[in-house]
Amino acid sequence: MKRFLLLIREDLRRVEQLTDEQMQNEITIMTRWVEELTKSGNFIQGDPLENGMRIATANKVLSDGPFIEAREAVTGFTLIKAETIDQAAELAMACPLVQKGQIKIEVRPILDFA
Amino acid sequence: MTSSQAINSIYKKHFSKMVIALAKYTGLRDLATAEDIVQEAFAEAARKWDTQLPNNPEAWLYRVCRNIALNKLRNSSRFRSEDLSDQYFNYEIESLFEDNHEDDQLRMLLACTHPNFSAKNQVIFALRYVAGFRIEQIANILGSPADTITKTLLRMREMIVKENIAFTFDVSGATPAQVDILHKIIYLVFSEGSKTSGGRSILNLELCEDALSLGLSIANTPLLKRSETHALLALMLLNLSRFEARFDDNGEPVELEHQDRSKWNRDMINVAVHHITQAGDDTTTYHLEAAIAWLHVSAPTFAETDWQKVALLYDKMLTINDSPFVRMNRSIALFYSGDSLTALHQLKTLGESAFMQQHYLFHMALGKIYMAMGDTTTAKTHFVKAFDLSTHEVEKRHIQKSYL
Repeated sequence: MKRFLLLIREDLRRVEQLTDEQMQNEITIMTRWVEELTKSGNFIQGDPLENGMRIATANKVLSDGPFIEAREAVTGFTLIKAETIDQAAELAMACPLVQKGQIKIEVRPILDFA
Repeated sequence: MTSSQAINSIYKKHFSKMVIALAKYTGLRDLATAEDIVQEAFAEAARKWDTQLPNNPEAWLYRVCRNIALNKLRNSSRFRSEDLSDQYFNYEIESLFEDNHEDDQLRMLLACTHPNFSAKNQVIFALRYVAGFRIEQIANILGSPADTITKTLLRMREMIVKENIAFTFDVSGATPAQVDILHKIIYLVFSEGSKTSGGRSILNLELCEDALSLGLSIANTPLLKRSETHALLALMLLNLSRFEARFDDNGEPVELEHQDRSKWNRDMINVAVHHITQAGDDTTTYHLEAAIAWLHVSAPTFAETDWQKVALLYDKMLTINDSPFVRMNRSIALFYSGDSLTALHQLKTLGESAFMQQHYLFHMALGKIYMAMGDTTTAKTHFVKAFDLSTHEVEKRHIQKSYL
């Protein structure tokens, strides 16, 4: 099986407006999805990300603010094993938050020399 | 039995057989047409059987199915005219319905082992087209909206067309990877059926029995059978042997610790032992899970379970498939074997993951460990957390009644 990085992408303005309870509730939903991925032998690793970012450039470190002009950002990641990129995308699509249209998942194959 | 009950029971038994029979003729590309034809026959039955059932309801349905198929397919330009002489066509369709269904079901299952399908989607496909569950029942079993199930099946049917997946699947052509997937699908169907959250429902029992019978058909097919087929069968039988004891008279779940071990089905356990012997000493996850189930079933009491061995088996499982959930189970086994400090330390490390923090079983485990160590305050916090995080009514009620 090949490895894939799933990047959870969502609308930052929506995330900012979530109460702690709503946030935890969403992680609970993600936990069930992760458990499913584990049972089917696809899950390797993953975590949600906190807010806040720095961008390292040649001359200075840029902090967030003006650089988050895009509404959408990566808010979590999952590393999985799958047979094909289409299978990986099917696994991502089964995430209940994707189904509800609250997040999108970018599926990227990991370059493997094996 | 009312006519609608009769229709439901016939539906479960014959829906997939009819669809598969028709799909053999229309090809898997046209699974949707095959399904429509069978649905139409059942709708016709629901209208006509309102007051009285025919003498032989199954035969009636097959006949209606065949007639609808004849009309539909005759009008379809996809079929060549020489296929359509009544005599030939009648013969073809009738013989399709007479074939060996067990093999057909395996072939249908093989059709969905394509590497682009995810395990969950394969389970959905199997529940619909191999086990014959209705969309709403599948939604109910998997805890997903019916709409999601419909869309998933639609996408899978489109993929079958796109990838040109044939139904004339020769069992002897199955690759080792496909045989792996066959086992995985059966394992996952079984685990859906044995989830506590579903309670002691007939639906759940049916699911377990379907998985068991598919496992047996693999065991009866020398080209597909492997040592882990027996391990998987043993594992399913050992779990199923406890089905009755897992719920009390009111349908509330009873944890392993408190189950009446005399209620465990000894006949099933004996058959399981036979399969354990046949499975040999390979170490696939099915072998390891069967061994763990065996240690539970053969212990005279919960306390006398060989917890050290259980923990060791989980260690082995981690080398095959490392996951926080297996780690959690290992820590629980370690705790019962008497090593509470290591268990607690491991669980605390696991708790650094946001996913585990939001998992109700993780907090149940911590609650029980703190309670056993005499720290009832900390235990209570974890039980409350577990209650909040549980999303199933049956589980919530159980936590409230037993721990809060």
